[in-house]
Amino acid sequence: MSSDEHLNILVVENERIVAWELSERLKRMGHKVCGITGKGEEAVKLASEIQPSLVLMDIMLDDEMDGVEAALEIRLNQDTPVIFCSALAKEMQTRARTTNPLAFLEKPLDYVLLGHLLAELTGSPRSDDSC
Amino acid sequence: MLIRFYDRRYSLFLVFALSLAQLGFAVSPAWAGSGLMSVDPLVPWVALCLVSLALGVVLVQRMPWGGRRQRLKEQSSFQKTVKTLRKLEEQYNSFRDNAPVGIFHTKPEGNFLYANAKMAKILGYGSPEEVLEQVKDISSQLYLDPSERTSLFRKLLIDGMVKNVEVHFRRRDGEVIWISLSARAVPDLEGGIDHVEGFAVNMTERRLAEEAHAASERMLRQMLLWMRDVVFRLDHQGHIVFINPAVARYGFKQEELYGKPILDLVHPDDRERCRRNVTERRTGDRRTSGVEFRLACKEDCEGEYFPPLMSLEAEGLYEANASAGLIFVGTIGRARDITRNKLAEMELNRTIETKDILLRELQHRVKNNIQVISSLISLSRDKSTEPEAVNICREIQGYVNCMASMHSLLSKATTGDMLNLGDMVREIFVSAANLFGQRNVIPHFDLDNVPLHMDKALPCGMILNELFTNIFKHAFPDDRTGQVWVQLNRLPQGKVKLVVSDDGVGFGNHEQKCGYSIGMGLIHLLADQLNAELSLTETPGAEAKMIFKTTLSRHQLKGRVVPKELELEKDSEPRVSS
Repeated sequence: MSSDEHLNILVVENERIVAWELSERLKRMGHKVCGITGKGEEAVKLASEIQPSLVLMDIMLDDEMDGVEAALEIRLNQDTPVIFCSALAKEMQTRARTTNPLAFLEKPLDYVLLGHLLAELTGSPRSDDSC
Repeated sequence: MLIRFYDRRYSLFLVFALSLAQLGFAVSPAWAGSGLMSVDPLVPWVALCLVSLALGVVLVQRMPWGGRRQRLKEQSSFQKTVKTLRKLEEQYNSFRDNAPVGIFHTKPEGNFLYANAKMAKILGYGSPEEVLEQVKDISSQLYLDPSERTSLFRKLLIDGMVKNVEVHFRRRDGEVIWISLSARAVPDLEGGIDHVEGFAVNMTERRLAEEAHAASERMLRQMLLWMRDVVFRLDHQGHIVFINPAVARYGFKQEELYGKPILDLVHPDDRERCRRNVTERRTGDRRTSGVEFRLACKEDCEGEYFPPLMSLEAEGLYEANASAGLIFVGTIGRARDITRNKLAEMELNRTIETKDILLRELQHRVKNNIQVISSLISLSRDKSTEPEAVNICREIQGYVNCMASMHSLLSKATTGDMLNLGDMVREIFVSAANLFGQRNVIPHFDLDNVPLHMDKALPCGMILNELFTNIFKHAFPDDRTGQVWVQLNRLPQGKVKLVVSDDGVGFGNHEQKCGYSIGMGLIHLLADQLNAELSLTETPGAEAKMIFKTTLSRHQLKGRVVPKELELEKDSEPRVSS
């Protein structure tokens, strides 16, 4: 995979282990994890500073700002696509839809599906090593 | 003066001559000129004849043998009168004897002079004769309280008659009955009572019915007095005709409400809504049920909460009219204070909502935890260099994913703790395929909708996970392509048949390589837990067939609320074959 095919991804996830595994998977898929945070406000700040090409956003976060609020803030400031990854998928989908996200993935994460989505974004065939 | 009579009829001449003679005229018949006789000499003779004739008539009348005809006539008239009187008497006697009320003649001394058949029947005797023979002292034999007869006679002495006096009688068989007496005293020559004649009617049935009616009314009145619900009756304009004392609890005075519109009791904001239900009952449904409104309660009402919330039940009253059909005449209704119930309901809803939030939070935590475990296994697998360790990690991850899939399905289920087995098959297949990165195997599903309780879904899901893992690990070595068929069919008696087959290398290859693995052991153990008939065959690929009941056993059902489709499992003997 060439450097222009990879995505700079900001991972916003309050569970550090999940964030770690997610980062590892993303790296194996050939993408770059440009930041990891478990707080909403910090995610908005990082997104503004780093200007990632994608944000993977959990909804339940460590601070008062939840994932939907953070995504709304980011989408207001910049045109960065957001994929929600949450165990609250069913209940939060209606609210999250207001931010016009790219997708909504339910936990435990289906990495094959995630791989497909990222491949579509980069416009390249997806890596087989998604598991 | 002579008058000539020109008629030849002699009799007419005589009458005419007699009449004119009294006036001093002489009548001569026309034939007198013919030489038979002259008229003038006949005048005295005719007069004499007439006088004699008159005397004869008088004498005949005076003689004993004279006027017989007249006497016969009188005698016949008398006999006719007697006959008529006898007939009338017979009619009277027949009427008296067979009258539908008791008729009696009694002496003051206490014996009967006369009693008709009905009287005998009322008193329990076979015939009027029996009454006359056996009842010698009416006071002691018939009256339950002999003093009642004494007071009755006192009244008869004063007024001469009594009307509709009700007294207790004892019948011949001892039964006590109510009698209504109307009688008059027939006086004797000394101004006392010779005898009494009158009517008696058995009032027992009517009296008992009246007493029952009165008791029922007393009971209803008492109920209305003690009821906490406000019960009312309105006229056709919605004005109060009756309202029970319960209304006083809300600060209203019962007596002040009569004639006033019922809507005066309703909170101004709810009046329009209630108007339709209590005053405009002429069209549409006759009955109102569960209409909620607030009372226009006075401040001294007893209610804990202000204003009290009531639930209205009302029904229109109609009367049949020949010309206009049914006419609306008013409304009966009941208003129940539901303030406490409403508050309890609101509290309950709040509790349910809180529990829902807690349940959602719990599900979120479980999903998160499963994700964390899966991530940990995944990270461990990535760091491992031993192929065996990688395989073990992958198998463990498969179990975790399988449980995560079932948990995910359960959290989405709308029917409590029931899952759709068909959905579960697809989810577990996709999860296992993703885990092993398998893309060369084409699945074919033929799945009926089968609801399955979570208790049965878990072992069933683990078996499926194990079967799919085996297929992805062993059935198609060297990345060869293949097909998998999963068939799920409903069978009679609450059973299902689940068949997983492939066109791979069969069990032999796997068994030779791995011997009896943990996975195969798990399949047998879990099939045993499901009471399933399990068979594993070479086809020449591999086929696993399982028949089991989706229903829960009696001990599994104990203390649970389960959907209707879950019947009791009668046969709980484990049957496993391979």
